[in-house]
Amino acid sequence: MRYATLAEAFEKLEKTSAYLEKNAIIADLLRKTPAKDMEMVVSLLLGKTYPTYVSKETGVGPQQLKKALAQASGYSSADIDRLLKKVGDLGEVARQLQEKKKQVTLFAGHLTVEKVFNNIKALPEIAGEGSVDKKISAIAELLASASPLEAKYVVRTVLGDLRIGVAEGRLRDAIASAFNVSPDVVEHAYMLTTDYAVVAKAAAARGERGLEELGLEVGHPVNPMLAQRAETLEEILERMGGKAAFEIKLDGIRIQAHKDGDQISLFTRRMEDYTSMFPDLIEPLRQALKPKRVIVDGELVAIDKRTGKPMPFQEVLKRRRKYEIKEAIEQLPIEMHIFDVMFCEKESMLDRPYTERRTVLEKIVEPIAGKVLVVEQIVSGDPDEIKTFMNKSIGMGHEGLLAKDLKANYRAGRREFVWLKLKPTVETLDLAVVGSFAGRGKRAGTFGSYLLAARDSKTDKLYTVTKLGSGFTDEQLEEFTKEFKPLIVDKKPANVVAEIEPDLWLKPKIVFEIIYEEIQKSPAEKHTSGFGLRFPRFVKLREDKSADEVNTVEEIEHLYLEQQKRKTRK
Amino acid sequence: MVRMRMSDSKLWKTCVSAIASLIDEAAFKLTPEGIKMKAMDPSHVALVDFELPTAAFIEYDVKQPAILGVDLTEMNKIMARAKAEDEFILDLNEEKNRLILTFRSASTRRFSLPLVDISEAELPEPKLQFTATADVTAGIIQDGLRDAEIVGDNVKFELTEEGFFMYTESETGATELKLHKGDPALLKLNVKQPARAMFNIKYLIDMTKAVGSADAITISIGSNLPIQLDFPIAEGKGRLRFLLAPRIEAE
Repeated sequence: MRYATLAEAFEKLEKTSAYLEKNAIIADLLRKTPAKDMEMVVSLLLGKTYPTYVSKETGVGPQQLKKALAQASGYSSADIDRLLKKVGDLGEVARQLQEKKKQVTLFAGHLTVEKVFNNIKALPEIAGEGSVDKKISAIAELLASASPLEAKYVVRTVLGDLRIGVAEGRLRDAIASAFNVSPDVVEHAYMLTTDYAVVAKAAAARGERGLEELGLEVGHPVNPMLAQRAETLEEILERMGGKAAFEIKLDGIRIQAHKDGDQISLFTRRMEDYTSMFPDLIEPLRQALKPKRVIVDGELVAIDKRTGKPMPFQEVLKRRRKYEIKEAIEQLPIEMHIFDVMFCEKESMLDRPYTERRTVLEKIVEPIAGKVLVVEQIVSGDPDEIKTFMNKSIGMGHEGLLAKDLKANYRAGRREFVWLKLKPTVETLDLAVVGSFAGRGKRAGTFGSYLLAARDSKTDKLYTVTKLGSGFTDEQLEEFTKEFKPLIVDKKPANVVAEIEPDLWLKPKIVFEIIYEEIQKSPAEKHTSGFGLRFPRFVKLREDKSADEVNTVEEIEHLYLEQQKRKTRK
Repeated sequence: MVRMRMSDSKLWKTCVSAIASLIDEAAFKLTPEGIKMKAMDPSHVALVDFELPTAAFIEYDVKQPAILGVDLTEMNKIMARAKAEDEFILDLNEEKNRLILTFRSASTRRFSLPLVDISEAELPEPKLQFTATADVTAGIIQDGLRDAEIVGDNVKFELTEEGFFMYTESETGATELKLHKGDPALLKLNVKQPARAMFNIKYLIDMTKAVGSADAITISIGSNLPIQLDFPIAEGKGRLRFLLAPRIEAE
């Protein structure tokens, strides 16, 4: 297929923003495309020569392109800069230069889709000494045979900035109308393959049947299944028929691991290839995953060596980008916690119910402590047991629980009510520490828990909201006891309004950030603010805040009302 | 078996150096009669036509025709290490798919160079009706191009009954070179019709690297046609020909 056909379609796409028109242009182009060029055409429509999940840099920027343009057109780089300043887009510059070329060529062939695709696709692979010149040559070769319009889109494609307003999502509908198939079937095929080029080819060849035959491929990311949010445990049990699987909801990043023989690939939720980011996981995964070919779904967690709790994963990624990966590995070791299996040996697992997949998972993973683990899970319908499990998750520093319908299959790319996340808290509160209680047992000799208060904006006084005794490490408890001793006062501070009598009153200076599961109404004889908290947990010391900057009672009331609204909506 | 031996390495060295400045990779065709190579630069502006018959070698052993894909950039780096007086031997290690380059004088030095796959490119066979030809001492052209380079990117070649002329003009100035009929450096002049065309200087400088300043270059032009440069290599037994597409003169 001539590249000109594609360039003309690009030009039409650039000129319209109407959805239906765009759709028709793409559909028309796809219908015209011969089978052997289909994958290339779809990739080029998306401005790429690789599937979106493969990240490769062409290594060619505007400077190199200008050189190629100079070489092909006979204009000096000063001429090109001048023109670029005027029209603002190097693609347009290429078109204009090509129209008034000063350099004659000995021979101009016809550009084919294949030639353009191959030359651009080869760019990232050109390496070593003189590679920049070779890349420039590969582009100049295309420009030598390009029409003005073709030159415009060759340049834009190389720059990675096609500007024709074709996002991936748009291809779903265009493929559907081009080949008379249902958009849902197209989307489902995409969720499994993450590659519209493959999807279009299958649809063109065999219609819906072709799409239905598309399956997972080891090494190609699958759109992961996502969870809806539940407000209460009751809601979950009701939706899932009184009983469900509950997994610890880890606070890390979602990663799917693909194993193909010795080859391990890691992809994020957005299907980016992160394999090179985690070299420390490759060998452990090779060992822990027993099948030769398998795709598993899980969460990567970084454990802070000092506290034993998970670190915010953003921090891990930041460090891995910033420092030598080797250094970052030593400082912040990571663990992969696997919770699902999508493909095993030669078979897709997606249509098997959760319980079957979990059974398979437990058989095929041989955990390696501190490296590769299977997510802890219980199957239960007993609220007490589930709450204990929830507390355990929170105690480990994780986010809560994920409830999974025992009968549900793996719905790639979908967010449905068969996976529900249950978080213990909606938001954090900053509260003032106004008193402390003596610790008992293991905590004897330290402040074991605290009395916390919010500010009333009208009276500017502090009203109690909760007692807080969990979420601290032993070290923190000792540290705080020592640090807060100078704040002990012998009677209730004048700006504190409290009915509860702590063992020791503290001058309100310290601010704690805390999380909770729910705000409740509290009788004024208990908490003077009128509100209390369920399952409060310490998050961190807000050294940057003073006691008059804590949350107000009005804010807590507002949060309470919001929470009630959410509950009744369900 | 493939083996080619030359009494010195100068010829191969200068040819490769000129060709490598235009193209990165080339396919050399070996036959029992000799070596041939024809290739176009990626921008399709220049074409190289290179031929060395067996007579150019002191030993030439090619029984079966073969095509050798060569990374010219790499070969040029190796050839840069050769001294002009070194005896030069090219062998093919078929098993390892490598060329073996040997330089022999006081010592024997050996390099091996992996062959590369080269896809067969479509090549034009332009039928060009040149209207004027001249043989000029290479050194004169080389100097003229260096002069022109100071001033601009393009040089005009003109051949008339009066002689051979080069002009360059740009915003920064102008330069010209004149060789009149009868000047010793204008070895031959044959003008059916006066002709004039403009070319990129950089390409011409690269091409004329291949000859010594005392050698003659045969220049053929026609108005707004490509220029053809022929270099006498291997005492006229071989062929090194460049074709360069013209620039369009601004109105």
